[in-house]
Amino acid sequence: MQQTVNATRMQLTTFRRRLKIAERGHKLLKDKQDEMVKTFLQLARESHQLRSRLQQQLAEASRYQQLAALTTGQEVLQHALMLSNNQVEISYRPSSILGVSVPELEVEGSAAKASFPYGFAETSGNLDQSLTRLAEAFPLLVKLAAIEKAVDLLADELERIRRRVNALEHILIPRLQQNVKFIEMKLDEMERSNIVRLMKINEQREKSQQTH
Amino acid sequence: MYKAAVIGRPGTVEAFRALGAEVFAATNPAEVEELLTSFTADYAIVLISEDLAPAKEVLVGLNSKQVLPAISLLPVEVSAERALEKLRFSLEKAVGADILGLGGE
Repeated sequence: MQQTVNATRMQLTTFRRRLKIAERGHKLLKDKQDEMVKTFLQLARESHQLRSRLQQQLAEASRYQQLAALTTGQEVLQHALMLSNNQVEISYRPSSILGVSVPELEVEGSAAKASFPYGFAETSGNLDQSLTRLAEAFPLLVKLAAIEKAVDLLADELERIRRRVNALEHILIPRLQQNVKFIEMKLDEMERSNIVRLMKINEQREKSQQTH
Repeated sequence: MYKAAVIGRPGTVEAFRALGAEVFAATNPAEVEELLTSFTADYAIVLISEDLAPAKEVLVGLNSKQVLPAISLLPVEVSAERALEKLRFSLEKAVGADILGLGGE
C-alpha cells in the first residue's frame, strides 16, 4: 500500500532515519531470537531427557506401592499415607533468560527426605521402598517442572519475537525503503526539471542577445 | 517458601502426601482445569497426573501466563504421550517445527 508521502528533503531525512532504526532493531531482535532458540532447544532437550529418566524412577515407586497394596490391602495403605503432617517447602528465585523471567525452584532442606508417617507394624516394607524412591525423584520433579515452565515461557516469547521480526522484515522496512526511493526519485525529477528550465532560459537569453 | 500440589485420581497420588505435598483428587481433565485456575502463587509447582492432563493448549497457555506456579505432568505408566505432545506443541510454537524429532502425530 502506497502511503501519501510529501516529497521533501525533510521527509527524506526522517524516513532515512526511521529506516536505519528499523534495520538496527531488526538485527538486534533477530540476534536475540537466534540466541533464545538456542537456549530454548537446549532446555527442551534437557526436559525430554529428564522426563524419560523420571518415568523409570516413578514407575519403580509405583510398582513398590502396588506390591504394598497387595500385601496389606489398599485401605491400610491409604490410611497410613493420610497420617502425614509433612509440609514440603520449595524455594523460588527469580531468574532471567534473555529478559524472560523464569523461576528457579528447589526443594528446601530435608523436606523431600523420606520420613515415614506411619507405624511399621501394619505396613509393608514395599511402601517404605516406594516412598524412598518417590523422595529421591521429587527434587527432580521440581527441577523438571521449572525447566518445563521455562520452555513454555520461552516458547511464548519466541512466538512474539518472531511476529515482531516478521513485521519489521516484511512490512515496516520494505515500506520505508519504498518511501525513501519514492522521495529520492521525486527530488531527482524536480532537480532535472529545474536544470532543463534553467537551460531553456539560458538558451532563450542567448538567442535574444544574438538578435540584439 | 512455596508449597507443592499434586493432582491425580483418588488413591493414586496419595504417596506424595507423605512427602509433604498437598494432594488434590480429580477424576477428569475438566475438573483438573477447574482446580488449576484456583491455584494462587503460593504454590511453586503443580504436578498433574498425566492421564488427567487437560489439552496441551490449555496447559501451555496457563504455564506461559505467569511465573508461578510451574505446571508439569507427572509421568504415570499408562500414558507417556501427553507430556511429549505438550513439549512438541511448545516447540512448534517457538520455532515452527518439531526440529528435535520427538516423533508422533
